[in-house]
Amino acid sequence: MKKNIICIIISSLLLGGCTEIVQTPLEDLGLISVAAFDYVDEKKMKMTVIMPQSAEDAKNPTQVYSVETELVQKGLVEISSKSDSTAALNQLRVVLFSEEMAKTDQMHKVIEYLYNNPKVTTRTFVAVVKDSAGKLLESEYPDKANKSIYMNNFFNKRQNVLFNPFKNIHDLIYDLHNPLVDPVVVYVELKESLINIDGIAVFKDKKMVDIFTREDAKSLQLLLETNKISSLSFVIDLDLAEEKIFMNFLRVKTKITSNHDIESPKLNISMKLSGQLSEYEGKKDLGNKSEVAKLEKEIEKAVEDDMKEFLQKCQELSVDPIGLFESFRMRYKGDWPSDLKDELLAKAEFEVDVKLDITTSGAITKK
Amino acid sequence: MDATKKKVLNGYHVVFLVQNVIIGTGLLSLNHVLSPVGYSQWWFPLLFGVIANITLFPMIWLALKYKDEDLFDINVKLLGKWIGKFINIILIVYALLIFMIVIQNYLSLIQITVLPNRAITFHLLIIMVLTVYIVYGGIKSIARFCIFTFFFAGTLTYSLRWGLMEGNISHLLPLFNFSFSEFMEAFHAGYVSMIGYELLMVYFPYIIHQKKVFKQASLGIWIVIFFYFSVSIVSVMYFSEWQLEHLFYPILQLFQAVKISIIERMDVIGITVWVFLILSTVSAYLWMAKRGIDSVRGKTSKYHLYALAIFCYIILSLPISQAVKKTVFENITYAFYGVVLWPLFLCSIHFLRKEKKEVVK
Repeated sequence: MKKNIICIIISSLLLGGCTEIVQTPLEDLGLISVAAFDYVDEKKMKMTVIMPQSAEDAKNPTQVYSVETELVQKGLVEISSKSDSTAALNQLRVVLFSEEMAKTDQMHKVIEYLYNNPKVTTRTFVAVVKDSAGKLLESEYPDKANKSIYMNNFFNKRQNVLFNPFKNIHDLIYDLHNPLVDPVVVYVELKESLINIDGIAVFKDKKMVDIFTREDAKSLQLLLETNKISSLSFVIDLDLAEEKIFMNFLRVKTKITSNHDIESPKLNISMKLSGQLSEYEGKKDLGNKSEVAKLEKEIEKAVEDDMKEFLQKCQELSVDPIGLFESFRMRYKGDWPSDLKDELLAKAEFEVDVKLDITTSGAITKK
Repeated sequence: MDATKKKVLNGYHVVFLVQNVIIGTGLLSLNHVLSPVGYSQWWFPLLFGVIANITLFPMIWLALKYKDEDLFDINVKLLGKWIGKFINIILIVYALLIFMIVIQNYLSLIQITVLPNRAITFHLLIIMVLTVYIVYGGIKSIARFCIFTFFFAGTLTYSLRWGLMEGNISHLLPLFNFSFSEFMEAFHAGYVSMIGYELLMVYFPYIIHQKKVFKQASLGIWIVIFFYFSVSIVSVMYFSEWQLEHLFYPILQLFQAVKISIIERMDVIGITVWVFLILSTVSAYLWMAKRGIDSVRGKTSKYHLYALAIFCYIILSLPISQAVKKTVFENITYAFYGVVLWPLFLCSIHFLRKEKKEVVK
């Protein structure tokens, strides 16, 4: 028996060489790390990609290709015909879309293609770019060693930083097809040869409708990342009292409860924050307990006002990036109607209650 | 050494044999096939566990009445030589069909994800050779392989952690948000992932402590349910209803959620390790088909095994259209129901014969 098995294994290994289809060797692949899509017309888009140089002594470590195409796969074939290697999406980390494209349904189609392609990991980050997305890849970043690594790190390593609701393909598909949530995607622009986060792009019915500011994004993150944030930074300017505060939150716990009444929905948002007051400019004595308590109240009020303002803005735009009505769905019998969320949002009343606990204000006594 | 003895399977063998034969390709698309009931699907595996446990009763009761005979022998004994053998041939075809479907499903998955530009012929050959090698050692060799697989592939459960952390627990409610027709659709498509425990009827005579089999087999089934249940809960939390409905292999996306700095694509590792689960399932079915041929032909020969493997290799290599394969796969569920319920029919025949004998006396 052993002899037979050995014979079969050896012969099958030898016969394996007769396979006609040969996989492309790794060194012949042009592994695209970032892809950008710009709007051309209703049918066409401009696809710009960057991939590493195959020659080690090349002046620039990354090469840029740009083509106009109707389909992503067709664009890849065209890029391959221009390049010295076969363009492949296996190492794709970031996908960028121009604002113009995000406002059409083309972006949604590209995202679905990428989600459907098993070569592309669903952890690929998505961003919307002000003006041209391709320009972000074509421009030079003089103080960055490698454009590809810069962009990858820019989107990948800062998930815990507030005001950056970074979304990957999985998150975006999840939101796009969830009748209770309107998706948001980080919105960036090219400023002084660097990528800058300018806010968040808000989507409705699979198309971008508006841009939220970074202040709005802060409120959104506090509402979204319940229990998940270990530390985050937050700046509150209390202009009237001329106080400037910088806090590192250790714990953010947001709870959204509702009255479950579809006719007159009321939502109560209670937020428990605890953290360290890491920087303070003002007249209060931080060694005095009552003054700290007073400061806590002031900050609570500021956060509450921010939240209310943000929720009002959501109501005006008829977008819900938080999923405020999840508790209604949990008790809803049957399929959730696609327009019910908008109806509820329009007539919803909100109550916001913030509780803050300043655990410490640093290592030295402050007066 | 053990090949000469008939009773070779101890308690551990039975537990892991039941468990690992069940987990094959079913788990890969379990959440997709259960999607007609939407988020309410997470508790379905528990229901499957209860039903599987109930259907174990007639199997073990009957097997205990014929302690030294397997399903093939019991068929001949209760139904007569010709009908019995005819049923046995159907059982052999059933085992071979499942054998081929599982391999075909796995190979197409490999082709979609890991090796999109390769023909599957070579991989099919390797899987066949390995299966024959495992089956050659008899049922005990399969059981030992199952134990190894449990500890090796079971570690993949850890990769659910990331999906669980990013998921939303509110998806677990409401509990019963589906209509009766949706329930039936999901149940019918989902219960097929429990295929495997009916083999107990075939390897029962090889078990040492036959009276403890019910406990051991139940434990095996509930280990499976633990895995199914964990995957279902995490999938329901991590995906939206649209994703559950449209992703054919949700577990691949769960693997992709894994964030370990040294591993970029956990899904490729997961799918590769999955081959152990496939091998343990297909080797058991090939062994069942071989036992069937031995029984029908009335003699034991290792050439039966080789002939079956070559036959299946040829069938799998034939250019059969996807539509035909899909039809076979969809209808194998009915055959599975038939095999699971078959002991009930045999039990009634057993009673009738008993009564008849008593009347004659």
